[in-house]
Amino acid sequence: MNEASQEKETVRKLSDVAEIRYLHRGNTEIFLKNGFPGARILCRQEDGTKTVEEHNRIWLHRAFPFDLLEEYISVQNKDQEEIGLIREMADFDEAAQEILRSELEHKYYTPRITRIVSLKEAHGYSFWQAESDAGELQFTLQDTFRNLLRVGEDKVFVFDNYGNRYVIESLKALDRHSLRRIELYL
Amino acid sequence: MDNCITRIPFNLDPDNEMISGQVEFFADGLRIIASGKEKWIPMEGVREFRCDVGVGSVALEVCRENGDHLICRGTMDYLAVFSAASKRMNRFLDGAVPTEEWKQYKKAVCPKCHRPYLPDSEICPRCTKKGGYLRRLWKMAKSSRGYIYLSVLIFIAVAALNLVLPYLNRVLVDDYIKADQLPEAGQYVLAVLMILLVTFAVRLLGIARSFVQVRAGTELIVVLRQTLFQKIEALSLSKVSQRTAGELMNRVTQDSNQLQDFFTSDVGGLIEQMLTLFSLGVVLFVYDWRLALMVLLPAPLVMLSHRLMWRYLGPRYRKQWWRGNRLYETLYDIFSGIRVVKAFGMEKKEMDRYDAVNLRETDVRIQNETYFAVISPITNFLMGVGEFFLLYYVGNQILDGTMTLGAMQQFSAYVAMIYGPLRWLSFMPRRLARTMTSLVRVFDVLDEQEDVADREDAVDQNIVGNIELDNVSFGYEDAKDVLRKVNLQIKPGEMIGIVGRSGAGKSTLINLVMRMYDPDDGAIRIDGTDLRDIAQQSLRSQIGAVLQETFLFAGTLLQNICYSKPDASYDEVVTAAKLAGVHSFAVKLPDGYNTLVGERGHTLSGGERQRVAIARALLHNPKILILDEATASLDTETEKDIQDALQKLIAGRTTIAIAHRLSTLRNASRLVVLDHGRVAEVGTHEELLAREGLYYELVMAQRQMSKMPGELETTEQLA
Repeated sequence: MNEASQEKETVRKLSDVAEIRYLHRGNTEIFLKNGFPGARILCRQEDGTKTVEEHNRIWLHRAFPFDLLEEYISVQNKDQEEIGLIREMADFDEAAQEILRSELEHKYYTPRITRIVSLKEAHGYSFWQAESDAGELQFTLQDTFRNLLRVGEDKVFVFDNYGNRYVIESLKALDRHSLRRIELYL
Repeated sequence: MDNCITRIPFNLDPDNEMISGQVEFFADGLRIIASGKEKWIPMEGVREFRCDVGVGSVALEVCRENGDHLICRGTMDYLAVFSAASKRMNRFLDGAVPTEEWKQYKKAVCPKCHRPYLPDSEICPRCTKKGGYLRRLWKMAKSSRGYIYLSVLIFIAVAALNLVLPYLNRVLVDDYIKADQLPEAGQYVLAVLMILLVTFAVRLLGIARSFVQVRAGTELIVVLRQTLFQKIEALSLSKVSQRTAGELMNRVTQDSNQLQDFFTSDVGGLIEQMLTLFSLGVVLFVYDWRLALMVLLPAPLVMLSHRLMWRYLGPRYRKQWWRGNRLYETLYDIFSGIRVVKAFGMEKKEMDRYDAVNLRETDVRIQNETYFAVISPITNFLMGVGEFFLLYYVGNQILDGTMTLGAMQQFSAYVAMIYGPLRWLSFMPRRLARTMTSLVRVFDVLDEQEDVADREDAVDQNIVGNIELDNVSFGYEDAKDVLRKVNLQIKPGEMIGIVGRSGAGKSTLINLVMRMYDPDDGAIRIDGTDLRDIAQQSLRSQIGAVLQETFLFAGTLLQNICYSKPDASYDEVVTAAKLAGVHSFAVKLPDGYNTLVGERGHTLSGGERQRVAIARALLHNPKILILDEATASLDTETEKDIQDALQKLIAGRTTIAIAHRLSTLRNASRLVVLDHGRVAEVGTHEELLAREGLYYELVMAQRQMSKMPGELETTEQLA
């Protein structure tokens, strides 16, 4: 018993040492300025006084962009220094979530592929034609195998030669025709 | 209308919808045109244009005192366009005069097939003209053309002889073996001898052919590699560093090999097979057109089935190759990390990981072997179908007595021969595709613009050591300007220390002075002459550099010191080595200055390598000396020794030095503090400390760092 409590203590210490500032509705207000998100953060100083840190503009960065799209969002300033970390969206109210989500969707613009119309390979490149929620897409992959990333069993990210990203949310949901085309590369 | 500074397209609206819009930049504002609407953003109060690079999209923004405003957004294909626009507009804000060139931007998509170009090029991987490239390669093959013509001649001869052989066989059978009366022994022997002679001639020509082919190919590859190598060396650092060393190696070796193969075996092969096919066709038709048709009818079918088979199997084999690759990578990964695996007791887990990859590879292998085992006999059978028809038809004719046994033999030989070229030709598209890839890649390098080329009237100049940076702005290919409006005057013999946080533009400034790149705006002058007017050879022969990464070429210590001056005397070498502190350790090595160093040789410590680099620079005896973090990777004591050596080198030369450790620059006559690409402060150590600006902050931060734990209290008391 004693050992267990001791172990708990060391675990708690580890997270204390890390000093991660989690942002949530209790300490942070998210607002929109000129169409860009900003944040007002309440800080408690060591002597107990409270100050407000104001950021006219914040940048959001997914810590796990392939696994967790709405959790562990790093909030950064212009110089890419972390201001704080959002553990999950539910820590904020609806209005703030709306702002955050829209910003993330802008930065991580990723059309969802619904159908692969054609996939041809020549000269070491593969040429794709696909339908997506952003309409008809045409793009080129250099080294097809290396630019497809399977996440879990069902999800596939596609990276084209310009650094654009596309996602196939579910392989199972694809029609047979599309599946057969992409299957060779998985 | 055309007072427009620059004009760019974009393709995303604020709701993430794909649209097609355009932004026009004027001196007094920007006009954004999208979905039939126009929006005007006035230029008033604009401090900066920023290209904000996201992960799947990119945005162009203006920064004002009261915050940022979005101009437009686009997918990543627009990165180059947006970054060019933001750089140009920032330069415009700094007072640069817009040029005609600013109005243009690199197009992102091929106008023909509307697919994106390869990044940073205007090459469409789909539509590149293939004929043009082949013609250029042919031009390059000037020296080996004689051999190529010769090999074509040999191919023709071989094809002709191959046709004669079955005819001789027929004569042998019909006129002598199956003849009604016994032939004369002499004639019979003569016929056999003829066959022997022809066979021998074919073999002999075969040897000649391979000889000629090898010569032709080797000549071509030598020319090709030379041209490629010269081109790569002539390109500026920025163009070269866009590609990895491995990739460049690949282009010089692999791609040119591929082209050599094509020229030596494929072109010859193509000619041979076409000739054989054509002449056989003619012979067959002349002999009996019905027979010929019967043989040739299945031919298209055969070619088609062959192509279909490879279209189906090709990607599957590539998948197998890829999985095999993965297997190898996994194995390599596990073995090289074996200490970690054992330290965390993860043997079981790694075994499972390996098993999984192994199984995946085996799966696809079994599948492929099965496919192949089923498909290939079928195509082979199809190929033979024509022969069955033939057998039936010819058999009937022989029974009727309209055809002789020898004729049948000749005919079957021709039929067997005609399928060879057909099969070969069905592989041709694949080979051609592979060659084209190499060809495009080779010419991609050869067509690269030399952006830091010598002017025709470039002069050799004896440098005194005056350096002047006049309003210099520069940015690499990506979004931001690294240096903005840098002004600096350096007098001969001065030592300038360049200080600043990482990313402030210190190394870039040095690269510009060495003319690894040309400034986008403004000018750098040495003794009043623009750098671009001085021949590079002349310039570099008078600049010496000691860099953080000291590269030792494979060779002896002596060769490495002499690198900058191959004709140096032993006396000079020993003097330079002594001054740099190389001598003291060189004479302890069993092989002295002849010790092999570099990749495979004796491993020198960081400090020793650094000393070799200094000796190299000393021997070079440069007018201008550049030290880029020359002592950063050394421990304090070694650094002190090297500093002393450097001090001897610096005396009397114009020196520009970069160092993170500020104490290294204590001897500098002036310090230049860079901040975000601009000159923030200039002055001596004392002046800058007194100013309590950026330099003061940097010094204080370093003092904090280097404090010993015990010292803390005393210094705090002092503060």
